[in-house]
Amino acid sequence: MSIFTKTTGQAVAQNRPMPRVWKTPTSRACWLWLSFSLLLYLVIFALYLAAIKTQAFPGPFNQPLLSFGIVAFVLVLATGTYSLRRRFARGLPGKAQDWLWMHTWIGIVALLIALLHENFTHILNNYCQNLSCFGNAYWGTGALLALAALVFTGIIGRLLDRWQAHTIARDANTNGVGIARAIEERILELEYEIERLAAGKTEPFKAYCLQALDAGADTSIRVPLLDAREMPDFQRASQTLQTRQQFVLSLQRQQRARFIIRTWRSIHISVSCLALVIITFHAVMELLTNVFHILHI
Amino acid sequence: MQKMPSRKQAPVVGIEHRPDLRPLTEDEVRFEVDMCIGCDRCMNACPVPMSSLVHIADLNRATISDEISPLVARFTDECVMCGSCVPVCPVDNHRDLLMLSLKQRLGVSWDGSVDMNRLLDYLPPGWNLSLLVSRLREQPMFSDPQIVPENYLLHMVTTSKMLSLLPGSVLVREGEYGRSMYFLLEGHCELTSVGSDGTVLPVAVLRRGEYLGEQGMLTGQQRNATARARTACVVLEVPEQVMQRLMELVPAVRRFFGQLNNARSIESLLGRMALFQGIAAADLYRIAEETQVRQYDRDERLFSEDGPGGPLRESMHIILEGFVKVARRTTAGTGHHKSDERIIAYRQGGDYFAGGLDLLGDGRAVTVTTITRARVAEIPRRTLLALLERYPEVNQRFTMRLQQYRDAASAASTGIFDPLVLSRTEVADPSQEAEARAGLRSLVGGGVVEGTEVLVIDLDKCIHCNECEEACARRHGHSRMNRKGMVVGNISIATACRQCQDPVCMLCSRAGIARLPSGEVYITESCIGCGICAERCPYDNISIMTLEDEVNAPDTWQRFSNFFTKGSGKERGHRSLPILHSSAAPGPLNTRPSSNGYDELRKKVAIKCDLCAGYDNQACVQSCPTGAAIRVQPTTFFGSTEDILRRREQ
Repeated sequence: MSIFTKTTGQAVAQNRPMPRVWKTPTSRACWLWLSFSLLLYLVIFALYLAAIKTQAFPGPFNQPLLSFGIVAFVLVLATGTYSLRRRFARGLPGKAQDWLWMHTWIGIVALLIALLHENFTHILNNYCQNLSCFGNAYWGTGALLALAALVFTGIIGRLLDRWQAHTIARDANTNGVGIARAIEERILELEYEIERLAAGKTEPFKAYCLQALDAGADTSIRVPLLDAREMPDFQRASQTLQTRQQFVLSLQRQQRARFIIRTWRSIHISVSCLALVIITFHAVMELLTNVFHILHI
Repeated sequence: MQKMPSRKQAPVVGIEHRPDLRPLTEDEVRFEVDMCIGCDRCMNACPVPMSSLVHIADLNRATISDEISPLVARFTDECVMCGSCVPVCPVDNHRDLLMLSLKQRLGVSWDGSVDMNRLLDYLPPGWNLSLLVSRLREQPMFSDPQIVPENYLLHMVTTSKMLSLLPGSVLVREGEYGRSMYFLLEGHCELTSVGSDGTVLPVAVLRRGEYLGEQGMLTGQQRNATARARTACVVLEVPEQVMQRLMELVPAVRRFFGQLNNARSIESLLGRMALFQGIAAADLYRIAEETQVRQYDRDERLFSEDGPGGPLRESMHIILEGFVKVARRTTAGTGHHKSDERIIAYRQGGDYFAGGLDLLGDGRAVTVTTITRARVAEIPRRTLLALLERYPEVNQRFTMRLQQYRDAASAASTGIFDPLVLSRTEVADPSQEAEARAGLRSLVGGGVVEGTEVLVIDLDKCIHCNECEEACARRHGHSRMNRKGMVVGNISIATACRQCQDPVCMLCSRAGIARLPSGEVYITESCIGCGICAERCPYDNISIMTLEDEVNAPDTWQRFSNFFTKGSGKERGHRSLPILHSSAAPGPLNTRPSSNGYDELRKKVAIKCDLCAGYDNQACVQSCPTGAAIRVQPTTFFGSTEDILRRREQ
C-alpha cells in the first residue's frame, strides 16, 4: 500500500474504533480483591450504622469509629506494599498485576473507611473554615484530604493509563510498523535512504532534503529547480520524506501518550509520599495519645 | 612455490547450514593464503573457544602443506563453518572456504582410530567389543558392513550413552520432546500410548535389534508413545547430532529413516482424512510406499497455477507439516506487496491440493508457496487414479467436493463470504474483510501460528513501562525479549522465542541449542555463540552476546541508585551474563579432552528466551503491572485460520 493511500486510510482508521478481537484475560485477583474490599467495607459499614443508631454523638474519638481509623491506616500501609513489590522486593510471590489490583481496591476502600472513621464530618458539614483546620487532631483533616487526593490521582492515573494506552495501540496498529521503538528504527532507515538518494546530487537537492528533514510538517519549503536526470530520485526522496514525516507524527503521538502516563504517575508517587507522611503522623500520634495513652499532651 | 599436497575427496560433515559453499580450487587456495597478511582478525572473530590457541600462520601452513599440527587438526575438526571469519578479513579472504579445503584434506574424524579406552569404559559388565558390534549389526540399518563400516559404529558408540535399564524403568515418555534415538541391544521394551479416554493402550513390544525415537530425531516432534523396559535392558542412546553425523557419512541410513518416517506420516494422515475413509490399511500402506515426500524450505514454491511449475492434473499434494500460502494471479500492482499475486488463503498440515486446485477453497487453480519449512507428500497420478478406480466412493467424494465448491464460488460472485458457510447470505463489509485478512496474513505469514508459546502484549493495557524487559534482564543478566514486534489489531507479538513446533534453529553440531522434554528450547552449556542458530531463526529471536558487550561494574552512585530502580531482593540485577564466565562444555561429537583451561573459555554465547526454564514463573509475565504481557498458544488464543476469518466478519 502506498503512503498516499495509507494517509487517507490512516485518517479513516484513526477515526474508526480499533477492532479489539483478542484480549488478554483480566487477572482473577481483580475480582478477588474487589470482593474482599467490598466485603470488608460492608462489614465496617454495618458496624458504622449500628454505631450511629445507638450512639448519641458518634465520632472519631469513640469506638467503633476509632477502630475504623486504625483499620484505614492498616489498609493504607497494605496499599503501600505495592511499592515494595514493584521496586524493592521483586521476589515476593504473585504477579505484579495482582498486587496492583490489591493496591487499587484496598486503596479505594481505605478512603471510604477513613470517611466512616471521621463520620463524614469534613465533607458533609461545614467544618473546615480555613486552612488551619488541616492541622486539627494531629493533622487528621490533612491526612484525610491527602488520602483523598492520593486515591483521586490513582484513579485518574488508571483511567489515563487506559486511555493513552489505547491511543498508542491504535497508532501502532495503523502506522504500519508498531510501537515507538520500531518507529524510531524505521525513521532511521528512511533517513539513511534519503541520504543515499541525496548523495552525489546537486546542492539544491541536498539543501531541500536537509531542510525537509529539519522542517518537519512545514510544507512551505520551495521545491528546487533540478535537472531532469535528478527528478526520479527527487520524487523518491519526496515520497520518502513524506513517509518519514508520517512516522515522525506517529512517534510524537506515542511519545506524548507515554509522557502523560509517566507524568501522572510521578504526580501520584509524589502525592503518595506526602500523604504517607501525613497519614502516618496522624495515625501514630492518635495511637500514642488517644489509644494507648502513652503520650499525654 | 610450495606444491600443495593432493587433496582427498573426503566428505565434509556438519555444513548443512551452508548449502551454498563452493570449494576453492588449488590455485585459489594458494592465492588466498598468499594474500593473507596474518592480522589474526579471523581468529579473533572465530567463536570456537580454542581459536585463541591457533595462530594464523600455522593455519596457513597447514592449508598448503603437510605440516598440520595436532592443534590445527583439532581446530579444523571443531570449526563449525559459521563464516564469522569472513567479514572481518581486511583482504577479503574466504577463510571459511580455506577451512573447507583443510577439512576435505583432513577428512572426517570418524575415519580415524577410535578411543578404545573410552569405548571399553562404556561396555556393560560381561560385554566385549565383538558382542557389541554383533548386536549393533542386528539393527536393520547397520546390518551391512559394506555400507556402515565398523569404525563408524564404534565412533557412534563412543559418542553415545549406554544405558542399563531395570525392569519397569521408563525410557521415554509420551508427549515429551526428545531427539535422541534408542537402539535396543538387549532385553524387551514395551510401548504404550494413552487413549483419548485416558486409558493406557499397548502399542508394541520391542525386542533386541529394534529401535525407537526415529520420529523425534528426524522431526523434533513429541514422543508419541511411552517406552518402558519390560525386562532388564541394554539400550544405546544416540544423540541426534551423532545420528546426523552418521547419516551424513552414510546416506543409506538417512534414506532408511526418511522412507520409514515418510511412509508412517502419510499412512497416519491419510487414515485421518475424511476423503480417504474406508480405504483398507494395505492400500493405504501401498499409497504411502509409492508417494514421494519432499522437504521444502521457507518461501519455496510447491507449484504454480499456470506455467511449467504447475502440477499434473489428478495428482495430489498433501501437507504433512508446515504452513503454506495459497495465491492467485491478479492485476499487476494490486496483489500482495504490489505484486501480481493475491494471497487468498493459508493452509497447514493435513490440508491438501488435488491437481493444483484449492479443494479447501474455491476449487480453482492456485500457486502455493511455503511460509515455514514444510514436508509435502505428492501422490503420483497413476497411484491416485488406481485408488479412485478401486474405491468409487472416494472418487465420488472428490467429485462432490469439487462440485460443491464450484457451486458456492459461482453463487458468491456478487459478494465476499466464506463459501463453506452456505447459510450466510449477507455481504460482508469489504474493508473489514481486508482488515481481517491483513491480520490473518500477519499472523500466518509472520509465522506466529508456528509457535507454541508466543509472548503477546495487549497494547490496550500496556503502559510501556519496560518492566518486562528489565525483569528479564534482572533474572538472566541480559534481556532475552524485546517489546518491539508485529502489531495485529491491539496485540503486539513481542520479539521473544516462540518455541516453534519445528524449530529451524535447532541445527547445532555441538548441541548448543536443545529442547527440554517439556518443550522449552534453550541454550546449553555447549554453546559457543557461532551465530548459526541466530541466522536461521526467521524471527530474529536469538541474539549473540560477546564478552566485550558486558557493562563494566557500576560505580558507587550507580549501585546506590540501582538499589531503588533495580531492587535488592532475590532478583537483583546481575552484573554479567553468568554463562559467559563458564567454560564451554564439549558437544556430543567432541570426545577429546581439553589440553588446558584456556581452550574451553567461550568468547560469545547465544541468548534466547527459554520460558524461564528452571524457574516457576516467567519474569516478563510476572512483572507486568497491568497484565498486558502473557504467553499464549497461538491456535488457542488467535484461533484457527478459519476461526479468525469468521470471527472478524461477525
